[in-house]
Amino acid sequence: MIKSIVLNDYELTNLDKMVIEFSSILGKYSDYVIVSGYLAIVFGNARETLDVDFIYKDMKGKEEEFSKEIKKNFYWSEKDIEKALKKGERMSIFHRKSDWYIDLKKASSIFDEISIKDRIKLLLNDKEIFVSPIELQICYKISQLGSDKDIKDASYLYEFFKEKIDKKKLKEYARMMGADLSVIEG
Amino acid sequence: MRTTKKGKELYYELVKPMKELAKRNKMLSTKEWSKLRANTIKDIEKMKKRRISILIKE
Repeated sequence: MIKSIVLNDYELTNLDKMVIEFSSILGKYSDYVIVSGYLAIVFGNARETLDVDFIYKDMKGKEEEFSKEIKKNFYWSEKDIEKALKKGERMSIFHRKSDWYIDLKKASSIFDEISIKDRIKLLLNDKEIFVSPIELQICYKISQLGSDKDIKDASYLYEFFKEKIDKKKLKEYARMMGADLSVIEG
Repeated sequence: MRTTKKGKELYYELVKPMKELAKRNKMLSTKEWSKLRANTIKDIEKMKKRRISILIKE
């Protein structure tokens, strides 16, 4: 399985910079992983998005410190963010300098747990972020999400990483999720 | 919303174009494909702003 990916001479967009900024703060308080659409975008599928999906493991009582630190460049509608985080509620955290927002949720399913456990360290130039295993994302997008956009993302990721992905893992996740890989293998 | 496309329609409209894009990007260096991607994203942002200004004029 892919453990790390290094992309040098990488042209960062404002979206990437926002993701790196949020990741560097969240990473201090919990293990986390970025899932879904941003994965296809960061590896070259230049499509529009408004949100970036983050899953975190556990802030272990540091919710207040986390909220204080992100407040400078992000905002949210919840009155009591610490309470919401402690309850593990799904939250939208908006970027003050753009239209993008973070969809933040606490790991709750077996697939969330696997995503964090087997996360990939991605270095964009020298900036570190963690993204979900490619094999899992391909299967998740086909079976659990399944919109036109998701099929496109899955097809892109499959082709882009075809020579590097763990085919055994891909089949294992496909079986677990009931993903029909023939959709993208053709 | 889950796709309603099936078979050939699904392949030619969703899968094939993305595979072609990924194949092209794999042939390029990171510097090249990330620049193309960044330029496209910048254009998308510009288009979004243009759409908003058109709406306001109406």
